[in-house]
Amino acid sequence: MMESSRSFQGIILNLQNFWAKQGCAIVQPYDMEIGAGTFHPATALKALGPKPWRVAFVQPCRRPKDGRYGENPNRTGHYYQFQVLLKPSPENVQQLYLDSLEAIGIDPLLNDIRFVEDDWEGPTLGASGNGWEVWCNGAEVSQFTYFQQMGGILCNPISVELTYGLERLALVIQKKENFFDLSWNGVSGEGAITYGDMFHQNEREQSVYNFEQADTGLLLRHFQEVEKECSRILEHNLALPAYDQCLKASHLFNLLDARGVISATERPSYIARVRELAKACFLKDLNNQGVE
Amino acid sequence: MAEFLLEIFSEEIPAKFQPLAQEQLRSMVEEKLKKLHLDYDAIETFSGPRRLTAVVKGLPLRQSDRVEERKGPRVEAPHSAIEGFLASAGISRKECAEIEVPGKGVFLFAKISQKGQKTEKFLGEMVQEIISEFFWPKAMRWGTHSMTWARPIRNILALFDGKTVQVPLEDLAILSTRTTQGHRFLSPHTLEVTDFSDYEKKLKENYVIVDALKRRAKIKDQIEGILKAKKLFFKEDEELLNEVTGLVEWPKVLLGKIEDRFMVLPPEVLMTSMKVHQRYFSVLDNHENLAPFFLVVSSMETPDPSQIVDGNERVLRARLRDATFFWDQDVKVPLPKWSASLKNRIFHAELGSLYDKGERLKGLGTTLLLHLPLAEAENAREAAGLLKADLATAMVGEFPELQGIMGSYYAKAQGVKASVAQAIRDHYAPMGPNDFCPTEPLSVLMALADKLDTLVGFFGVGIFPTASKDPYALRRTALGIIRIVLEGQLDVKLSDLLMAAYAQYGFFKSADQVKTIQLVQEFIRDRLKVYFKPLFEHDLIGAVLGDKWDGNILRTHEELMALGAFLAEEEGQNLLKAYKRVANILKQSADVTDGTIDPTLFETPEIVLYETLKRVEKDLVPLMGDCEKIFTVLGRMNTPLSGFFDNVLVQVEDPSVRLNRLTLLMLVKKTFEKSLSFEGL
Repeated sequence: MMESSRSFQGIILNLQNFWAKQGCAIVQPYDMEIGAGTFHPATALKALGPKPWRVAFVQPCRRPKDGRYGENPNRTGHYYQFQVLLKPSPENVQQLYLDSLEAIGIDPLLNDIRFVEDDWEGPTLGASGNGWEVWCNGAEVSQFTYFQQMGGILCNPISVELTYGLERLALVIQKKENFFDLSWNGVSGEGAITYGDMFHQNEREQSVYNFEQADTGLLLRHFQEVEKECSRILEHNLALPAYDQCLKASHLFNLLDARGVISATERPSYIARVRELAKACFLKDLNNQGVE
Repeated sequence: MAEFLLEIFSEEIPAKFQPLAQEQLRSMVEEKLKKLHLDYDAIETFSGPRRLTAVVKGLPLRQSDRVEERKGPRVEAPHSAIEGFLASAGISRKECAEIEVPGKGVFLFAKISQKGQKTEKFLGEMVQEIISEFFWPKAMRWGTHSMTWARPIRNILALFDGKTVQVPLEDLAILSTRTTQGHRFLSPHTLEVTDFSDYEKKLKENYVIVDALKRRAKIKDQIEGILKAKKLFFKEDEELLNEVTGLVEWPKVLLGKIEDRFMVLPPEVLMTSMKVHQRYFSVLDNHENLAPFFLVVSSMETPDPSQIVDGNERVLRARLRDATFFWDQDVKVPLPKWSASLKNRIFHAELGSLYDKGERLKGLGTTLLLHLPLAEAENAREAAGLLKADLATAMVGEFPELQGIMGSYYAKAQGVKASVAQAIRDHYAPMGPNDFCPTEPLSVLMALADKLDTLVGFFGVGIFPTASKDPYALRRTALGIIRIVLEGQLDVKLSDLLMAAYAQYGFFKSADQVKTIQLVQEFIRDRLKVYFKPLFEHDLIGAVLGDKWDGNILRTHEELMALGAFLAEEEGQNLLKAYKRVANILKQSADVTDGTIDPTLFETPEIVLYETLKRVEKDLVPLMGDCEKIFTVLGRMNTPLSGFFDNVLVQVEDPSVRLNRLTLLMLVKKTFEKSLSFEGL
């Protein structure tokens, strides 16, 4: 039987405990469809401004285009990230990260862990950062990024974002090759619940929707509506509700993109439209906090 | 004499930045020591993932004393100017020398003796300057620090003559020390060092090889050691070797296995997947075929590396299962269907979709056959319609570098003719000066057509490369055309090719055709000059690629070779001299001739020249373009021309004799210029 600490939920619990001890506020996933933990207001909005901030949370992510009808062993349209944001970035952050790997059962003396350049860019957020993907025996298990810009605004101080790809990490820890085979609850036999039990059907149905059934006319209309609504709310100085609308626009764009109705030439202009919304929200939020 | 040691210790610096950073550190130290009037024996620099190191050997403990001569104002300058100079130099008027500067007057000169100062005084500031002036292709900030570096700096080791150098950094959190760190996992200890040899030795004992060249050599040695026993070879890959050298401090090469079921995939797929995603080296058997192994360069030494190998094999299996899935999905769909799906894949907003490009290439491919009978029209049409099909496939979506290659595999699997499959694979080539150039006739045709279409299209909508920007790689495209024509020995005029390409763009105005084609031809001519530059003398290139260039690249090249060979000999040089003399006489003369000769006015040497000229002209007629023979025939003019110059005076009193002689020379000049590009020489 698998040690419960190596189960999918065990990994999450251990990471939460580890980062709680580092003074992180453990918050809950954002209750909207987002493509990465970075979009969570506790990351995106908090990366700006002078106030120190430490937070960690699990975030379910939706990337409609990555769906594979549940047929690909390690690519899915829905998956989990464990996200840590530390502002300002501590001097020993690499060591902290490595300690967190040990806490979930990856012994750095038995594995080959490396930091391989991978600068991150989030074009819809106008965000960029320098960092690495972290490899464990050739598997990319985390993204490690020092944010330099958010919404086109220079960050000061600089925060560091650690994004654990929970499924990939679990593959390494459980020595499995297929997301759907991962043990979720660490129980074997009758009470066993796997990642597949939890999500395989979801992957199939969501893929059909994302690639075949989504009503593109409706989605296009929604996109325009939330774009308008975002700008309107901003006029009332409500940065946070406006940011929610921006997140909706981002997800609608992702759905339209997966459906293949956005041509290569139109794509950049859609991305730019979402980015403009995000920038306006970031600026308004800073203003509301009284930051110049 | 003493040693200066500097190590800037940071988090992992991108591998591709390291070699240039190492070189930059060297030149910065060199330049700064020079400015400080500090001599030294040698500077060495080193780079790796976590450290950039410099060592200067043979530095003096203090600068040598020196005398600086400073020039002041003129002796008769206003009092205030002289006072200012004296004050700045710190000497009295009496101590000034008066020296005459030829042509300028008498000036005051101050000799200021500078006492050499202690070397250690300067080094801290030098390090601070290096850090703040250092250029990284991409730098970053971290924490609350204001400084920038490729990745966060975590320590600075600076030692001069065994003592710590204080570096005046604004960020006090980063102190200069006499310590460094061993391998991140194998020896995470703080190491105190005394000098460079101690530094290198201690780091080696703690699993860090400082010198990239040594790491690189160690990787190669280990690879060869592992493979030798198995009678296998590794696929040499400089780019990959350099990259992995920058990813590890203590290389440990491990051999993994590829499962047999994946070996049915095209070798390019396996190799690309391994290299791009995993930085693995491919392994070849003694027939140069891909063997079912891979090499991973890890940064860890463990008693039992099987866990690391297992992990890597598991990752590769997942990757290759993806690739197998892509292959299975892609190959099911006939290539023409993939092509049709390119209708919403933009080639360029103003030039239509990739599907449109394929349609144009069908027309262009067959039109080109009129000038270049390289293939059957039917094959040309078929190939043109399939060239870009694989861009729509999942595999090429995942690995863009497999464009063309996948198309040819899918074509073969779907029973498409071998020559068509080959053309799909080859048509992007050559991608630069060192890439292979297609040789199969249908491949040559398609490679040429694709490039002509691109070049004419972009120029047609007014997109040209600038000195600094060439986002569509149009220079490389033009070079591709040049290489295909030359290496394929294609005897054809550019204007014919360009007109055919222009005609395929239905929406281009015919009124703009002449101008666009002229622009493209001039662009190619400029690239041709660059191409010929390392091969031929500058003035020869200028001569054959002058205003009268007819756009035949192959003939131009032949002419250059012949011209070069001819002018290397005495006879050629004489002929050139004679031509220049003729041209000079004609240039200096004001007479206007109507081109008619009156042989009755000739003296003997003129008759000889005239008769020779007539025979030469006749003999030249069938030689169009055969440069070597043209030179031999023209060479016959040498003797009669020198006879003429030695014995006949052109500028005589009698206007009709003078005019007759000038006319003769004009005919000579015309004959020369008609056969070859003499004007530019």
